Amino acid sequence: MTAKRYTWREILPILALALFGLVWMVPLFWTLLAAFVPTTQLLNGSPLDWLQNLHLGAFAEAWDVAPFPRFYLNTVIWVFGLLALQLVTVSLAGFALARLDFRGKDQIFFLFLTQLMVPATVLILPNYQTLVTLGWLDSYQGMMAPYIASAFGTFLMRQAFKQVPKELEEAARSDGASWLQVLWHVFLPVTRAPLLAFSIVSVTYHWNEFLWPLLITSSVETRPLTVGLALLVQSSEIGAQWDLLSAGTLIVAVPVIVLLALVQKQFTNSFLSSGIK
Amino acid sequence: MPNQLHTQNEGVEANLSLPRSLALPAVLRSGGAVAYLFLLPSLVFLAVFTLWPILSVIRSSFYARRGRSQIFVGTDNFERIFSDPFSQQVILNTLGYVTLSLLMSVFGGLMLAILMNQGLKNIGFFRFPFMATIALPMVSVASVWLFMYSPRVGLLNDILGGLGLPRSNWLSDPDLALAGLFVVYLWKQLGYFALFYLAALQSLPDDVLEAATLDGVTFWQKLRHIIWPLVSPTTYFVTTIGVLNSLQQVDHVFVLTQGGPNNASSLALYYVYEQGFKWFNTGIASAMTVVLLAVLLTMAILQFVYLERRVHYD
Repeated sequence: MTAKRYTWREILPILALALFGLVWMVPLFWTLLAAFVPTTQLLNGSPLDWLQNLHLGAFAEAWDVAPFPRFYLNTVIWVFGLLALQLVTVSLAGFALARLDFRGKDQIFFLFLTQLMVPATVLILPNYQTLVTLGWLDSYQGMMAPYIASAFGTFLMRQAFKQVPKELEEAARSDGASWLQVLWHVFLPVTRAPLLAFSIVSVTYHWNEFLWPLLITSSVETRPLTVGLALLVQSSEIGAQWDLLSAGTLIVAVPVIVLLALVQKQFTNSFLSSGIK
Repeated sequence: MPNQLHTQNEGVEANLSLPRSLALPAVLRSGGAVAYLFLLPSLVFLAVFTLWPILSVIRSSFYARRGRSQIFVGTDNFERIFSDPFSQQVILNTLGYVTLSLLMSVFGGLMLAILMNQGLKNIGFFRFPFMATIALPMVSVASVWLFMYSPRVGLLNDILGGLGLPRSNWLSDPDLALAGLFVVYLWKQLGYFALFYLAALQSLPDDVLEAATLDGVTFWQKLRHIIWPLVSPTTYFVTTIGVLNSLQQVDHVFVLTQGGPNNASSLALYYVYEQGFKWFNTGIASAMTVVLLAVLLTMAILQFVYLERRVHYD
């Protein structure tokens, strides 16, 4: 370690933060414990009994009671399928707004702004009616539809594309490349960071989404994890099987926690850029 | 010599502009047609899932179902929303909830950020607890707290009891249910707002904060007279997203209280869901949606005015 000596003035705030952080984590620790200790032991036993009775039974049971593997698959399909579509729409639109001249640019810009002002969550009622008309209820495309155009992503990419030097674009254009080729070969390779930032925000947001999928889905084949968990919670409330509930909670939450632990810094920066969503 | 240079320049210019003007007709050169093609996918989805729903929900807020048909009722739905005790309570709940979360996001967020900004600046380890709760799904967070609040196994009452505070059944007590939801929101989102303040604090020049420390001013003086004015643009930003964010939270209402007991913890968006999807009162649900839209629009206008003013006077 370095020779620098810390004064109490420096150490105290760090201790305070550490303590605060520990207290903040108590609900998660308690859930973790509850998933591995049978509920009867948790209620009546001592901490020593808890340690002696650790088991994985609740996970197996949760896995049995609700089709979690299928819910995982559904979540992955809808979240990453949506991301793939979004990456196409936001790159194309961001490029047009940043680099091309055309009539009606201000009006189109305003249309994108509208989506920033009015989040899709508020429009569940009319959007549901639209899906009924289109016959898209209980389908992946129905879940994705309101998010395929993303004003947040478009503006993020527009900003990034604006910073690419004009010379790069002109060199490619004078070699006879089409605008699509310019976008693909010149612009996208140098804007990986904002693309990644957008991807992290999009995946986290939709992985966690609940209300819209709840309204749209009605079968095991489409329901995502969050909806599956909520159904499990509602059914186990009667029996108060807390180990089962805790295990289910962890099954849904663990991938997000692992992702965060791996790329916390990237995560933090992405969330900072997501202020306007 | 000068003459020669001149011709050389001309040659260069001609060389640069020639291939482009030859290669493409005027419209395509400026990117016009290509631009519309590139924008088309986004515009289609914006039109169908952002623009159209706004218009259609405004329209249906003036209609009500009578038997099988929808009839025009003028502003009846709005009058009902503001006069019916049930929806009045929802509006009051929402106002209280949004106000509290504003205070929390500004003051709590700033305090946490100041704490995070001390000493070992870049140790993410200490921030992990607050980042983790942001990343978790609200449904998971709510079920964690369903467990915490549970009268028998929940830890919260044990902690309160240990501190000598009264134990209560939070979620089934009409006086506490909304506060119970708010605690869940606070636990999940505090780190999110701290993040913006942390970024603002770290972009301040070091000597500003250090000079204040040297002069022996107290922490509160420093907070009030130095930090607070310096982070005011962030405060404005956090206020805006704080309102947007808290208005959209509804998942914990589903998992924890379903708006109960006795409507004590229902929020505007949950009311939209109940009216629209459980009781099929499309007109009432649409009217509440329009009220929400009006709030969002007001926020947007305020933000626009604020940005304009900053551009002009800063």
